[in-house]
Amino acid sequence: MLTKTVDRNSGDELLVKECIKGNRQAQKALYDKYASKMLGICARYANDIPAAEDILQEGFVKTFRNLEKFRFDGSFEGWLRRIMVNTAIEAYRRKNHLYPLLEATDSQYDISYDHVLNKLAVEDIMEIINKLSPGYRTVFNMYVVEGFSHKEIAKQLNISEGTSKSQLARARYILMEEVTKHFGHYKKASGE
Amino acid sequence: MVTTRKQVGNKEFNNEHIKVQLSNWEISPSDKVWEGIHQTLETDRKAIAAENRRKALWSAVAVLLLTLTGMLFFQSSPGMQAYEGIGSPPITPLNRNSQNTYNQQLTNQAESITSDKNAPGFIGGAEASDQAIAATNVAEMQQAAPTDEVSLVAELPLSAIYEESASEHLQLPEAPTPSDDHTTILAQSATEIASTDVPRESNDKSGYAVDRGIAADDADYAHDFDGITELINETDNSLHGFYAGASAGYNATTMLINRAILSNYEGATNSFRLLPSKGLVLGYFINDRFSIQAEYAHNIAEGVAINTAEGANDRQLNLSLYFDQFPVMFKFRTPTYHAAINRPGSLNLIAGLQYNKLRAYKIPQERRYEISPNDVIFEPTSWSFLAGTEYELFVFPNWMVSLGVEASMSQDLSTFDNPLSNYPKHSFTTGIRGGIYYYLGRD
Repeated sequence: MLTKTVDRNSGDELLVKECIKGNRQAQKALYDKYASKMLGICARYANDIPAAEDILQEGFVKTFRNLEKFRFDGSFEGWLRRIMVNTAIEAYRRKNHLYPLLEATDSQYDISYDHVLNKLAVEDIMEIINKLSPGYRTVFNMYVVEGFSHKEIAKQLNISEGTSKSQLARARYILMEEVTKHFGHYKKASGE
Repeated sequence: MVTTRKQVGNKEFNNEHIKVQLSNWEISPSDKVWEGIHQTLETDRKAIAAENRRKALWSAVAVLLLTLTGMLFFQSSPGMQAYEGIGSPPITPLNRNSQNTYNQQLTNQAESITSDKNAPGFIGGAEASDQAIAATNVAEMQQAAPTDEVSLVAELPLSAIYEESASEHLQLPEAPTPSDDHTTILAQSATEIASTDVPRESNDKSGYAVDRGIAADDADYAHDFDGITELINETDNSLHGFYAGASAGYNATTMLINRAILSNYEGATNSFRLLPSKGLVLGYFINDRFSIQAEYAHNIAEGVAINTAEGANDRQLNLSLYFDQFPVMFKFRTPTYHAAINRPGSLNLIAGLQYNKLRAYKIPQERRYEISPNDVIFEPTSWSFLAGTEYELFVFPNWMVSLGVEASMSQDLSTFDNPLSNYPKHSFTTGIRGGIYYYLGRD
């Protein structure tokens, strides 16, 4: 089978077609092109970088195994991103299925909203997010960053929509507390 | 810094800054990540090559077995008479004495034709030779005609009909009950003789009279045998037409995959689930040998049992797929007859395609989801190949029951967005199935 010479600057379509043919050079080029960005996604769900790299590796293996299913209807990066998120969710479920998320109501967590979080650098945000438990972190990432609805989150994580909402509220509450610890600008509104 | 108290709500939280920051965050992975990917893909490649070799080998074995089985079924044809008279007594061999008498008549007729071949003006030219050869052939074939009972039954599918119908309805006192071989041969030769134009071409009056007499007799024979043929056609009650009924069974179903279907669970293994099936059947007997059958099976469950191995937390999880299925099967039939119970039956080989429409699915620990366009976990429609064998038995003249085993394998049912696992999965189902059908008769 004839294979073309490709590198990370080649177009996605060419890279994908060559990968489907089994061109190992194209697979490496595709990996090099997106690995850094995808590891950023994985790291948001994982506890640490080695765990994120495990998710990245698993995600790319799935990608290469299923490349023929990509029909170029949308961007390849978007498709790849979805795979990484799904893989990260699988990893979360694999490790946390014995500890189901508990139901809670939204009203339990009245918090004060501070714009300080919006002024943080990405490294600071990541440091704070990594302090969340896996469950809170996963719901927070899925809702805030990936844009999933609570219904979708509930379906993916085997929880009810109410649980998803309460987990998100709890995650935000914890984030605010962490921000306060870091910057001391936060004061709890309740009881004021 | 201004602090504002807010109730947490989905729309109240300004996420844009966080979303932008996190979405564009990049970290360079270590080299070991690509090494791991490379190794896995290499292992995949070798596994696929090995799998292809296995498939080729098993395909060859399957084709060979099917061919051999088909040859076996075609060769074992003693059951061809089985449906001639559903519910009637078994067919008995012809009376040997009657046959011998009739053979003698055939011989005499052949000698008569042969001895007259030199008569002036009787037969001339190429037609004379043809007639002589035909007559000789009649004698030779008569002599070569099988006389043992087994051969008669095996090679004469319509003998019983002739034996019963001809003697009862046609009133042919001078025609002893012949074997069907002889019936066919004599009918052919008599028809040939009767249609010969020899008398018109002859100028010899005496010869013409002789010829006319023989031709007239033979024409009478031809007429008689034409009548027999018509009667045979009219009374041919071999299978042909529709049948309808219901079927039910029990399936063992699983997903064909080399690893645990749920990557969530380390050490999980797949096993069969036992589930019932039922359906409505409409079939058509093309002839004794072939039939086609369509079926509608409502809300049939397939899936897999996943046994987790987590020490004290061992448990079984079920993945269920609920289908409406439309199998269309071709049946190669081998009719037989059970003398003990005086009923015809058939051993059938079955092969066909099945259209699967997914109604709903239920994945472990989740609720049952109805299919919507946004669901991409399993293919909403798919095809399966199915094959099997069954035995059909007419318990009453128009009522038939069947019992058999079938197996089916579907296309890859998973889509890439399956949150459980992204590996290809084929549904494999095997089970026993029985049915009861009403034969609507010839159309």
